[in-house]
Amino acid sequence: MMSRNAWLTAALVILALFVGSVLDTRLPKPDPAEADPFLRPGVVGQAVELRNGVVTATDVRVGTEIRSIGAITATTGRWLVVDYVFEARGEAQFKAPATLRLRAADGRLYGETPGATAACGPAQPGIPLACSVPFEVPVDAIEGAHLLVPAEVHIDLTDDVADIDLGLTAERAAELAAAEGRVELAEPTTVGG
Amino acid sequence: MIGSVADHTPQRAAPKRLESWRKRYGLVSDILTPQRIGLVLLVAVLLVAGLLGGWQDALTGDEETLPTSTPSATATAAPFTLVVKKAFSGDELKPAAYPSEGVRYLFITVDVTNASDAPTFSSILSQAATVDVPGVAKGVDPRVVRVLDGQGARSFSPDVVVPVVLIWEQDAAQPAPTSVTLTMSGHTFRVSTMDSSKEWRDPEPAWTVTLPVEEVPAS
Repeated sequence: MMSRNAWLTAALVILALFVGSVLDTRLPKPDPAEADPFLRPGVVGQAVELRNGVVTATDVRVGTEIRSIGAITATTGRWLVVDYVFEARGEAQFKAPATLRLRAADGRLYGETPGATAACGPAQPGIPLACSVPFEVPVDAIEGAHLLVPAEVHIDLTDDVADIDLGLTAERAAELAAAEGRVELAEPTTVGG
Repeated sequence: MIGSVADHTPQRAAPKRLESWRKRYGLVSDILTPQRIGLVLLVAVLLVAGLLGGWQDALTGDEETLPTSTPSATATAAPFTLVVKKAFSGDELKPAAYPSEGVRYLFITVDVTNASDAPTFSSILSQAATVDVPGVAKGVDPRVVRVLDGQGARSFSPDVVVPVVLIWEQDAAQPAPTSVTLTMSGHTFRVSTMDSSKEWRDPEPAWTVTLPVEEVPAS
């Protein structure tokens, strides 16, 4: 049989936990910026340094179909294809297409494309590899879009992320959105090889 | 005064009864401690709740009260906006489904739009769709195939309309359905209680739609 003091102690402990929990929800938290990725800004044609390589966006193409590894994939929106060159540093690297993202001007994110898209790799250190990555987007996501290339597997990690402005002004976006053809995605190719 | 004493006599009966129960409890108090009695009651409540079907029925609510949608109407099952169009039954629908012995397919065509602001895996959609058709295995999610190119849908991009066909396998020994009721569940975007990952979780039935089932048109 628990004594009166024991019951009182248990009640005080529960009360203290409750008060602590309420305070925890109301007190200010540490700056979440500590956990943000390290964004490395750039533009098309500019080499952007990551801790494990260098990435350079070279071109933007748009169509209503893509052909990749022999398969044709269609959309009711648009395929926005970014061509880029990746040069690994230190050791051979892969850039899986599913790890790259396109960020629209309003913050919407695009990626994880259907169908088969060749991985960018293996990119050997010092040997640039030309690759392409497709994004299925609505027409209104083209203007002001940025390409995000993480050093590792996700853009949300506290790690380097290339943030490349694709230069898609209103005029350029309207011009690209009018395209309705098929975009061919080439296999990863060594640059200058 | 004597009469007054006689009037108070019945009031002493209650303490006597309490005393007798105390004596009886004293015989078993070393075994039936208050903690053990509480534990037994808790186990009894769980046992009765389990025998009556558990808490799940109370949590999910009565499915008969779900709102109903209509074919070709727009309805939301988070994170998707959906237009359920038609249902078909047949042995094949190339290149999405090929003939297989003992298997008949049930197809439902849906226009899917991801209404969130990030890519969402198609598994979220397939987990959200259930049908109640004899011969269709319970708990087996449908395949999701893109209508435009016949490829499996890996994910859905925000605000892009993607026509898909949901495909269930039905035991061919069962009769082909003449109508089907599709139940769609909505999800909640929340942080996992196990780790810090944020995903669409906790599917809850949102609405149903009943469609006539046609034969797959001859190709």
